[in-house]
Amino acid sequence: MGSPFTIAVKDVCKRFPDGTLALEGVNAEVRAAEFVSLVGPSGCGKSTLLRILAGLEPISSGQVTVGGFAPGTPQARAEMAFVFQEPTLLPWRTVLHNVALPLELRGVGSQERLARAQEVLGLVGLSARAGAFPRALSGGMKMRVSIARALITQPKILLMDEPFGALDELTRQRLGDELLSIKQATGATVVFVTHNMFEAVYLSQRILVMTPHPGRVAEVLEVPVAYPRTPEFRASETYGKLVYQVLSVLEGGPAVPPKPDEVQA
Amino acid sequence: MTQSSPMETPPTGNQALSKASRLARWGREALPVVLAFLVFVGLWQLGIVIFKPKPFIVPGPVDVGQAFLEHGASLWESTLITLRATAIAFVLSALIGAAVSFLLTSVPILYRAVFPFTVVFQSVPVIVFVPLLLTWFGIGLPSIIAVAVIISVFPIIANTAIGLRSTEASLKQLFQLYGASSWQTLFKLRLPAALPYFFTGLRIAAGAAVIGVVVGEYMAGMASTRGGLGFLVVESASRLQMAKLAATGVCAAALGIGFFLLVGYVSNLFLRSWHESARGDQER
Repeated sequence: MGSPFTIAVKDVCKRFPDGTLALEGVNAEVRAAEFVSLVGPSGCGKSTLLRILAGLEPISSGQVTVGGFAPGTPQARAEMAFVFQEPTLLPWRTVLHNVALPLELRGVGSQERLARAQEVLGLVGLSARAGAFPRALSGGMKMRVSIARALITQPKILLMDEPFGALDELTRQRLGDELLSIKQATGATVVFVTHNMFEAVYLSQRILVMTPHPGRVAEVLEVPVAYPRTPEFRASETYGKLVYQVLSVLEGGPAVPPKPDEVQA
Repeated sequence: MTQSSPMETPPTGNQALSKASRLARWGREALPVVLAFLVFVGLWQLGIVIFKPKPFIVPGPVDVGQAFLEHGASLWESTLITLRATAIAFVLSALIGAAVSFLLTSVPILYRAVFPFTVVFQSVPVIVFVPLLLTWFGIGLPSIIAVAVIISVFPIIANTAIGLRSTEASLKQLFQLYGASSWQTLFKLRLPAALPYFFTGLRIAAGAAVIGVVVGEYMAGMASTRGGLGFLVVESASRLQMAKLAATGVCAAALGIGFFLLVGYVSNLFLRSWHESARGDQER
């Protein structure tokens, strides 16, 4: 905590080579150690925005800084990790060697990186499967390995692109809880892309609701409930109202809460 | 966080099958093949007994068996000669194929310009090249090997090139995000990802190399005194020894199958632990 690492996005436009305007006039800020979700339907540019933060996609105009640096610079990359929609594991490597890959690419010695890999595997509850090959794992386990791999460099910023999109609901909720405890333990900043508003409300401190054609941030909603979040949170009035608000923005209306005095948007 | 969920058990159990069920599976798969073979040979011999054709027009299974006994030494010798030429041609094809596909995929313009021609080249009947090769290399092993390389190198080039080009985009981005050097990306990502494709190419090439060598020997053999199976084909055909010709065919087929199985075995050793193409007990 108290780390200076923040993300700032100012007046960003992104036009694809085919002329599609993916993002227009996007402004956003993420504070250090904050959990922010980007929510919206497909085509709203949420994944594009995340990929811009990772430096995987150039912007057409505007300004972006990640931890004070331009995205894609070695300094910015050193402080972040990206979790893809798919587990993106190397099928010819065991779980342990998959997790150790980022350190291997950075030239960390074999003994040290494998020890670190073992450590982060413990963090996601997969120590027992270190020697398994990815094809022997379930979808949820593969995603845990992918998250462990992201954690091994001790990133200050975690960028996650619909990481739980392909999982069944129970696994999704369980991994969400695990992600929150990892976030609490490491103090990392998390930017989380999802199309699932329930997931966004449950996990985030702040939600950027995005709408398509062209992609823009339509509304920013605070979730005024402290961590740790419990299953009871899902049954609370605040939770329901927030989901309702996200929905009404996505349907083109204003973020009108059922009772305007209870939730500050 | 530390508890692992009981809901997620691995989808495939990879405990080895018991001996009994393995035997049962073998019986299920191999028995029909053996039976079909016996029925075929039986009908063949029956036709010979009923119609009594001249042996130099249609030899029967018994004639072929006799040919094996009678010409065993020369069949064995020729098989070894063909085996040696095939092995050399196969290794050359593997090396050339790997090098060419790597070169083509490393230079995108080269790939776009040259790759279509590899397909064109592949559809020219190999017979066309043989007189040329004989003129260049003379009658002998180099020409025979060249024929075999020409027909077995293309499946390797085509498959390996596809493998080298089809590295998953998100994996490349992963490497990019961690600042991997191009050497690291090559050795830790692109080459291993292309390995299954390379082996597919090798498997096709194994059969093609045997055919290439026999064709080469056939063309060159007309002028030489002793040689491989292709030469035996020429020799027995010219002497109307059809039973020996059939026995030669059996030897060539056995050689092709042997090579194919060997490559399959090596491929399985490399890919067993991770690739879908590898035949493992988990799969069925």
